[in-house]
Amino acid sequence: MDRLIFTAMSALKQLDGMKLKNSNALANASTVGFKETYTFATQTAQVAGAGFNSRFVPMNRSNDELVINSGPLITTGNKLDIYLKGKTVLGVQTSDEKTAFTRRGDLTVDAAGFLTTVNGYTVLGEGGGPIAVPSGLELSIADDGTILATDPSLPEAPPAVVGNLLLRESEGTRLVRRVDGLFEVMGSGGQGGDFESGPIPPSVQAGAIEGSSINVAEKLVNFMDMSRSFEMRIKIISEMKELDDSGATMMRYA
Amino acid sequence: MDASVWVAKTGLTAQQRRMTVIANNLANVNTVAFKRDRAVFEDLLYQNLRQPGASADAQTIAPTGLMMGTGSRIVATEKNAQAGKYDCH
Repeated sequence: MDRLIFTAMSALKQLDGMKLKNSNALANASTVGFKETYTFATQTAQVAGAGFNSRFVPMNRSNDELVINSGPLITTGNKLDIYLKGKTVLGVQTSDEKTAFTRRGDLTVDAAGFLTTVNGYTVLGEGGGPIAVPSGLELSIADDGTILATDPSLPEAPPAVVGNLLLRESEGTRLVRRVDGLFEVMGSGGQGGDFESGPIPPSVQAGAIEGSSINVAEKLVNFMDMSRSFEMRIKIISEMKELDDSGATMMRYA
Repeated sequence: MDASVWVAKTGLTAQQRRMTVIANNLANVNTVAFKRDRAVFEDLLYQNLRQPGASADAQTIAPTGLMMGTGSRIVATEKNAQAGKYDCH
């Protein structure tokens, strides 16, 4: 059989993963604190077999490390919303009670009185346990992640410290994504866990959240590029059919 | 069909919902003591296409896994309880 079409097909297959990643980024253009992973790199691999060493197929090499960069700052005015500055990440409890990290800063208090992210993960304190929030007090979060509570009936009284957010600075730490979308240190194998904070003290800004780090225009251009390459490769396959046909015609006259 | 189209579609559905939330906010511009909502997006579960440490070829192993995202959804709407403006009649 003609091998060229198989080579063209393997190139088509490699596009699939890239397209999937691109549309996931596009779908999450409004997800708070969404971060991208490094892109695919394509590598050529030689196909062993009979004949000359002329067959090379592309193979994707992926690096799933997260790119922790600063997304757009969106002011909400909500006192419990935090914008994680620099490479700061926030520790939360996973569904199997392990520690993982997130960039989401839209915090709220759940029915049981614990501080959680809006999508339901319990926020962890510096000690590793959940943060219980007293009711009836006005909460605010300081730049270093200290949660302060003031009694609205005693506005002059100094604010009481409720707890400290588990903040880690991820400079120099390689983070990867888990199945649930939270972050963990590379090599943890889905087990989560805390890590040593980087050289810069972690800091937050209250009253704002971080938008998605996705550049929508870039993703759309990527899409156009990929669908062009798709068309080109399909064209190679159909071109081969014509070539085969003309070969067959020659044989008919012989 | 191409899976990436469905992944992109989840984003469209979520954006459509966000428009509904924003339209509701707009419709209530003159409602007394109305507090605006914000649609909260969340990324859907990731598909683990390759385990971290799985072999990439005969000699090398991949240090990272390959997590394929499957899109996004609206997980909640969040009320913003900021005080509105004074209106003296």
